[in-house]
Amino acid sequence: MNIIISNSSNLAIYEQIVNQIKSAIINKEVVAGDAMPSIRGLAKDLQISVITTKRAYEELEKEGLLYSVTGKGFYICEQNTDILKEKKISMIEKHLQDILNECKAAGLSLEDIQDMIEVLYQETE
Amino acid sequence: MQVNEAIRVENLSKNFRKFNLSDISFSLDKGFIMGIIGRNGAGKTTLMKLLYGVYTKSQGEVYIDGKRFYKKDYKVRQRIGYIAEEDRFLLEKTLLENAKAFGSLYDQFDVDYFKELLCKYNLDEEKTPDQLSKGMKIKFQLAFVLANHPKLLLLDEPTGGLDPIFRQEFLGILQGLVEEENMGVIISTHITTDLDKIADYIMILDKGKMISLSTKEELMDEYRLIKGPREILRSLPKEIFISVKSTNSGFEGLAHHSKKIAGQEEWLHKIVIENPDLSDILYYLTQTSYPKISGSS
Repeated sequence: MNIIISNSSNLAIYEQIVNQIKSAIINKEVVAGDAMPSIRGLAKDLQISVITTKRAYEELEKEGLLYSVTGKGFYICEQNTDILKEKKISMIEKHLQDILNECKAAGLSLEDIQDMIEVLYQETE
Repeated sequence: MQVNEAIRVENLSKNFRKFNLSDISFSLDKGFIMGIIGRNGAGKTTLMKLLYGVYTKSQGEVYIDGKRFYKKDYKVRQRIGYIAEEDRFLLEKTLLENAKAFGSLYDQFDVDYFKELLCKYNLDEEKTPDQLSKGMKIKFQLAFVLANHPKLLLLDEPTGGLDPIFRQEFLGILQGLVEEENMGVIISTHITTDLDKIADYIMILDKGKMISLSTKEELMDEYRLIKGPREILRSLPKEIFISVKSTNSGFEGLAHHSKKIAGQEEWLHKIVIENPDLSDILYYLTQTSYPKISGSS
């Protein structure tokens, strides 16, 4: 699993890590029982603080996506596909909200936006 | 008794004739890295020397690996590895001879481990210190202090004058070390980009006082850099900014990351909000007026 951090993102680093791991789970790049890189290993690879990687993992643990085994590390939980789909949809909604804000800031009307969506959707068919 | 803290400092102060280091308190667990940043003259080197016992404190307590540290207590002092710009090594002797000579001053100097580290860092034990490049010298110093199995590493401007490639390598070594050796590392530096990456905790010193102490993450999360056209500056609520600077091209200021910024929709699309790095945070937090608008207005 690849984790790429951006310094220029609006999201805090731990949030970026959380989102990417979530995506990896939703896209089935990782499956239940897979081991995550160690907190320190990940920190070293990404050249960030262990406090950040620890926070990301604990956040995911709270959301039920990872579980931890003392002395061994963090692992991917069994996932319920409906819940996964819901999570994916809410992630998409968040992206959409950001895009809509940008559209409004650029002065686009609802019609303009709808037209744009139609054109782009058809392009990708 | 095993303690988790590599170092604990309580109300440490040192009075000089023209400078005072006041009321420094913090602790650092083993396995973690703390960066101390501040402008030149803020007191970083003074603090490092104070922690190592080069200066005698005026007030306060220092505990190293759980043991109370007085200046003359050599046993406790040996739990600290100290690296600074000045190197006190004999230039005509080889690295190995230097290690054996100076190492004999310590109770626990591990010559075998020293040799192992030299190998790991690609240093030839038969070379003399003056044959080493700056980067190799730092690695040699590191190997030397590590051979004493310290519980705390104090590094005072360790990467000054070193190229970015080497600095990355060196930081990687440090990150590995805190875990392998179960020790704490304190780095004082003005090269904040190094700390942007690997520091777990950040202390900001200004005029001899701690003006900030937190995890690097909390510090980065707490502030945002706001940039925009100068005309807007007057309509922004002044309380938002810690400090602002303004040029002919626009303004830039540091603000607390809070709802106050999110709320003001009218001008939201005219400004750029970014994550500051440590040097931005240091710059704005140490501007003396609040909030200040410098440059022509």
